[in-house]
Amino acid sequence: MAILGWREGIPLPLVKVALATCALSAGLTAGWLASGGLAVLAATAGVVAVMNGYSKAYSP
Amino acid sequence: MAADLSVGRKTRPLGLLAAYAAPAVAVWALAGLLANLAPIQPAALGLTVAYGIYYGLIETSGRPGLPAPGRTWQVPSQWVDNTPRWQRILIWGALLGPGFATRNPYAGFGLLVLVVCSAGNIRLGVALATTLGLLHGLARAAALLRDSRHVAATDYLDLVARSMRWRTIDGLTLLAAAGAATITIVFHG
Repeated sequence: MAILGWREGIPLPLVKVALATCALSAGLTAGWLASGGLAVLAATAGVVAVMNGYSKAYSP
Repeated sequence: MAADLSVGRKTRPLGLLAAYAAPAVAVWALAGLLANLAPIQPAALGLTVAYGIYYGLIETSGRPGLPAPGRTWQVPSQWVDNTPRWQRILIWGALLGPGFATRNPYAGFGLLVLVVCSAGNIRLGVALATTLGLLHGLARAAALLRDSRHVAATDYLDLVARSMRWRTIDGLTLLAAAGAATITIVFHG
């Protein structure tokens, strides 16, 4: 698998579904633990801001 | 892209970081102020959920979909050709640091705007926007420093593979943000 360095064994769509489910669940769980406050959303946005700024150089 | 930016061999890292971060902070602070003048928090949270799920799914799956919102404009070369190095850095910093002016290949950038609109009050909105702008500007400059120190030896296919990996990670982060926004609506909606 070229996307995440996956080699072989598990079908790629299954991996993607699992990853997407995990990401959504992580956001739901963290939000729940924070009692629905904006802290989790703000922290996630902070991560996105760093990733977005740093990764633009890799855009062909 | 940043590998093409000639900033000179003796780029002073702090100056470069400041040239990118200062305009980013200023522009984002203004955006945070304007975005929270009107009470749009509920709509912004709803849009954050929809946006995060839609772009999260297409970026994670790699399927085609609507392009990430943004501009296709690029800095004209005559703006930076034959200019002193310090002036070139200031131009690049002012235009690339905030992130609004040029192309955004990943949908995550649009999420930042929606999250700022979700703040619910001006003080929090400006603080959040300022922080996001600072992080974006510093990360953008850090990528440029990385590329200016390591001469680009990557070929086009390698660049595409890296871009696909970033796209997937961006999609997963969007989904996590959609989850967090959903819970915020449930608790406070």
